[in-house]
Amino acid sequence: MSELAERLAEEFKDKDYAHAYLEEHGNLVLAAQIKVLREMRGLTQRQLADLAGMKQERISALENVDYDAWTVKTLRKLAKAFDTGLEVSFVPCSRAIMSVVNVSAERLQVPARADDLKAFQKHKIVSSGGQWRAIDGNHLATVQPFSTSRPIDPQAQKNWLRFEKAEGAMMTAVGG
Amino acid sequence: MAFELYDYVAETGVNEFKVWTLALEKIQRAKLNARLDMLKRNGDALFPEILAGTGTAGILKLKIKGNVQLRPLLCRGPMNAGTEYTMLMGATEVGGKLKPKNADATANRLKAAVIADSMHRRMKHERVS
Repeated sequence: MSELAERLAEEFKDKDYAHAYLEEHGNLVLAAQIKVLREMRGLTQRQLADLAGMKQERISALENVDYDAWTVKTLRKLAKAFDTGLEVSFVPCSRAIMSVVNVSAERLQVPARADDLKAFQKHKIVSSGGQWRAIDGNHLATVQPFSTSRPIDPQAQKNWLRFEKAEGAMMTAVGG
Repeated sequence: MAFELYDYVAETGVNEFKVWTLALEKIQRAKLNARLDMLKRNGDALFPEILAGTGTAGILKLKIKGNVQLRPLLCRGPMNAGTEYTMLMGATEVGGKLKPKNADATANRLKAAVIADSMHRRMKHERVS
């Protein structure tokens, strides 16, 4: 486990501390992500402002890590301007901790809808344990070593249902 | 890319930044740690305006909003400017002015002390939660 994750798990036993930390972290990451997405799309603040129906000064304020008056309405406007989805949800603190320790410029990047859907349609949509999963080539590669440390349960294998027609590569990887 | 955080150490061997942090309220420490954690993990390039300049070149302030405007002063490096930050002293800001008075100039003197003897005048950052 990451040293920071362990530390936060201890610190977050204090409710007030946990919420103050997460609020501050959320402000930092939202501001950073808006800037990362804008630059990823080659937009100036003015161009993003036009797309989102805001003023350039407003975008400048939203990209400042000190901004702390977020509204879902504003985030929806930005999601439409960036052509991405927007996920606002309550999560366990443990998941929030993992989000903290995994922040990086790469992880803040989100492709626009058209590119994302194109890549998504190359995934295999499978069901496992009642949950649908989208698996790409890299994920299949990580599934293979599983069989060397623990034999695959044939019954469990049957639970892997393909959404599409079966393909040899997919079945080989899952079956080891 | 991960960065290393250091604290200035006084001639007496005391980590004065830690002493300042210990005197903060819990909520303030949480906000400070949230910012320092991101600074350590990603540096300041990813977070727009997380660090601001002061009246003294090379001395930066970390802005933390609250009832009291905390402005801990730090510098890049000073031994390896691209991979580390050194927390020099605690400060606050009232009416656009740093408190204690001339804190940035004081921080610059502490930075000089670190440069002169980096083995003894700084230590790995000590987190206070």
